[in-house]
Amino acid sequence: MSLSCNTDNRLAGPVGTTPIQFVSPPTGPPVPDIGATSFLEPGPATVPGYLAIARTHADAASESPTALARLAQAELSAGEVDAAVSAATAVLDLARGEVDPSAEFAAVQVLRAGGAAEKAREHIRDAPKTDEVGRSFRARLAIECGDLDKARLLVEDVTTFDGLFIGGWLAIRAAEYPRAIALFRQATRVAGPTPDVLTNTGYSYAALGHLQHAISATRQAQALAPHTRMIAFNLVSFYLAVGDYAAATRALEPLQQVFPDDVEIALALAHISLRASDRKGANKILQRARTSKSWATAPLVRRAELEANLALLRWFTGRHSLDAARKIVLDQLAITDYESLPMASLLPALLPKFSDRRLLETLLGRLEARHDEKALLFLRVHDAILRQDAEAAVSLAVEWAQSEPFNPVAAGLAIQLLGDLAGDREKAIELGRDAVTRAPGDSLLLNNLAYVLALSGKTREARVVLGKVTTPDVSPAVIATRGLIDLLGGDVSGGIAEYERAGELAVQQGKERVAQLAALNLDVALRRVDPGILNRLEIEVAPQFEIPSSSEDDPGIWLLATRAEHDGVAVSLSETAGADLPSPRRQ
Amino acid sequence: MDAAEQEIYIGVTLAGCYLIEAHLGSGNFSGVFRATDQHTEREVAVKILSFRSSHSADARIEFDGEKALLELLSGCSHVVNRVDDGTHQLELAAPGGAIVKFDVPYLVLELADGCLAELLLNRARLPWQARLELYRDLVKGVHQMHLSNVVHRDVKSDNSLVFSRPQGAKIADLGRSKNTADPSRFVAEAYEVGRGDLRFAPPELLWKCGTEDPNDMARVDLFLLGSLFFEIATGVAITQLALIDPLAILTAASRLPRLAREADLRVRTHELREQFMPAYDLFEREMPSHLRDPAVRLLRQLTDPDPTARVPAFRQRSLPPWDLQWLIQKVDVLLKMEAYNTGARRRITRPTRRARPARKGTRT
Repeated sequence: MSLSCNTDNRLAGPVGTTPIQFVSPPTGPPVPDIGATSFLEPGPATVPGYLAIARTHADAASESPTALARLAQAELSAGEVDAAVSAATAVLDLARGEVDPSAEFAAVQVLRAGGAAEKAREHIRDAPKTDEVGRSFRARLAIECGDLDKARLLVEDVTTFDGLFIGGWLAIRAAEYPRAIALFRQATRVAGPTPDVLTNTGYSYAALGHLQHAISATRQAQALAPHTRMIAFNLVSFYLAVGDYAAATRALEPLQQVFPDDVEIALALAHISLRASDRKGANKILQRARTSKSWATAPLVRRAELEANLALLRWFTGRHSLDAARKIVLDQLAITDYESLPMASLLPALLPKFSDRRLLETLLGRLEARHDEKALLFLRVHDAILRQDAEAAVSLAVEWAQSEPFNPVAAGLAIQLLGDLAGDREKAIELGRDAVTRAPGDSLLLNNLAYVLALSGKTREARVVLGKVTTPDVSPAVIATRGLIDLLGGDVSGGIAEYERAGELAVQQGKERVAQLAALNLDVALRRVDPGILNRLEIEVAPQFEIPSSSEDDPGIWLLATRAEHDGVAVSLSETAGADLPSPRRQ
Repeated sequence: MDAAEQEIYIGVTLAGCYLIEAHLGSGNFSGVFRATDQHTEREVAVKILSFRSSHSADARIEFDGEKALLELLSGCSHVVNRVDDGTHQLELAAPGGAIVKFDVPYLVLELADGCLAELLLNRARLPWQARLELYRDLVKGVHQMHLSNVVHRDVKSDNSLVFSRPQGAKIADLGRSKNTADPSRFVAEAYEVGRGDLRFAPPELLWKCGTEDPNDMARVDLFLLGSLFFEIATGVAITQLALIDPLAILTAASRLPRLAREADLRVRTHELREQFMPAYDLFEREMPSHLRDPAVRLLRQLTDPDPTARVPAFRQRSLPPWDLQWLIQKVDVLLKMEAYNTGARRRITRPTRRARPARKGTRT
């Protein structure tokens, strides 16, 4: 049985629902985030001494690019932005005749700070392309303009650290990971290992599926920059991908030492606990974070995410109903003015039915007003499912999986939709095999790949893939998939027994819908078994696959019914309201 | 000091001895003039507190502080020498015709031939040997100040004076300097942002994380010496080049509480190192090839965003940030490398001498 829209082991936060990131070359001043737009206070009326000196020097040596560049820097430092821009422009005009890269570089930086980057870009376009430092700098500006092809041309064959780093970054953007690794290695040889280079090397390795190499590079990055969140969260994601929860928790320790009460770290820790099937532990971590000192000073979005996650956990543990959890999450989302995408990523789990379509459409509209369309692919896939638009759902799911190569949820969903809705199991297997190299420890992904492998007759490979799930006995879906593999592999009695065990476990866990799905899956799966074997075992299968009318609102049933149709099984709607769950009928 | 005030002093004789002849330049609170000692005919520089600033307590403290520090550092070979000081009574006619009297303090200093910044405007003409020798003098000047427990806090080429006789450079403008043995002159918050020029400021001051701790202030001087090294190579300011807009950073940091600023800076340390990388690339490009590696290593160490990394460690223990002997030695090594390279070039270009005939009885 495959899982879709299942986020019962994922929380909204810095890991899990947020993609793994790589470091971009810095393109602006590293201004501290103060959470609000700032403005410059009026400066002193008198001319500062350093500015007076710079002006005197520029007057005395008006043909010296250095004098003008120093003047531009001094004017900017004194808050005289217009004068700074004019002095920097004069440097670039001079630089056309006489090459002084230092003055030119300083002038370009001043123009960027003064909001006149277009002038700098014009100059960059016209400037000669022989100098390596200038080329990497021009590449940086081209990146700022969004002209990645130009940037790539500029840093080709550049051997400075900056040029190599930008080249590697561009290679990541173009998904040329081996080239990126080579360039980052070269950059390391030039200037030694730096955290950013190591982080991006780790990212590239992970993208190629070499998770141990990725972990090794990212650990080195963390050793050099132990308090950098991105590095710590990337490392956590890599450890989660290989299923090493203890190491994932340890990766957050350097951050915890500096920020003991940090809400974001608490969210990451809770996510790890949940992935390790410790719901109570996750709940405890979030409760503690909610009463910590830094709770009061945490940004609104983080606090809202914490509230939403707590509501979700309470729903998982049966302390809240779905409606109550949904209300809290939607309220928190509205409080943050729909800013938090991690929180939005909880919506598919909270709006699982066809009847939730209208509400989802409204929310999607509000989120689209704040975020880029591509960032909302996860929600657009769910919207397409609720609209029962199979074609759109499949194409959006594949697009989502391709845009977030490290996201096992995206890959898992794409596998399921490709297999069930499009009937393209070969493509689903190809996508799944590729995704599993990047997240070999993700049970959802492994389960969905094993499921589609089994359906396409590759039961031996399916068994191997499913065998990699570290905690197979806690998930009804995994047990049901094992049943499917047994059933299609010839062990019909064993398969039925596993399906029944999955249903019982689902009931014990309070997941009635999952139990129903397991039973329906068995019903469909039995139709693929040789009738002779079924007769020998005295198992009777109805000629038509009947969908109980009570399940009409469930997308899971729609997916199953579509899959059954792809397999040539006749599907009908049971006329009996609230019909009993189908079960194998022994004669 | 504005042009009108400068005019007032031209032709004035201070204390019946120093005849002011020309205006040389102006600082935040004062103007500097060229004057002649009427008794010895020696040319001197006179630094006069502008009368607008003479009412400002901060300006007075800074001016008196500089006077006291110059007294303390008298005899240091690479710190500008104080010749004399005093107070001049300035008489100005008010609009009603009444005479208003101001007491304006002044300092008499040795006169330099110019400042390093002026030389760097055409730095291509300045050979590397001379640049490194000047840099060594200035490092030694800061070292001498440190030995007297004084931190400069505003080291830059504008504040580095160049002399032709004897040839060399001296550190000057001690207005922002502080004797760490003295009690604090300002409230603790005043030390967070330091006292120097933002274009050259170390990151900890842009994030307003400076302290009154003498070791921290000595580490600021180390960054500034690194920034001066960068200036000598490129002619421009490293902080502004690397961090683009120091004023914007400072403005944003001012809106955060101290703890948040410290946390932000700590988290950004490696990001800041990356931000400085293009500046290091530029510096490397400007350096002669035979000096590149050791010079870039030295610059990276001195301008490291982590203040504790600016001092070399010996057997796992950092040297005290006050002692700059190691830095002087490193510059000496660069000087020797440059001298060797120049000598090697000369040896290559020198016309070959005719070989002497071998003496009798000697092996050939």
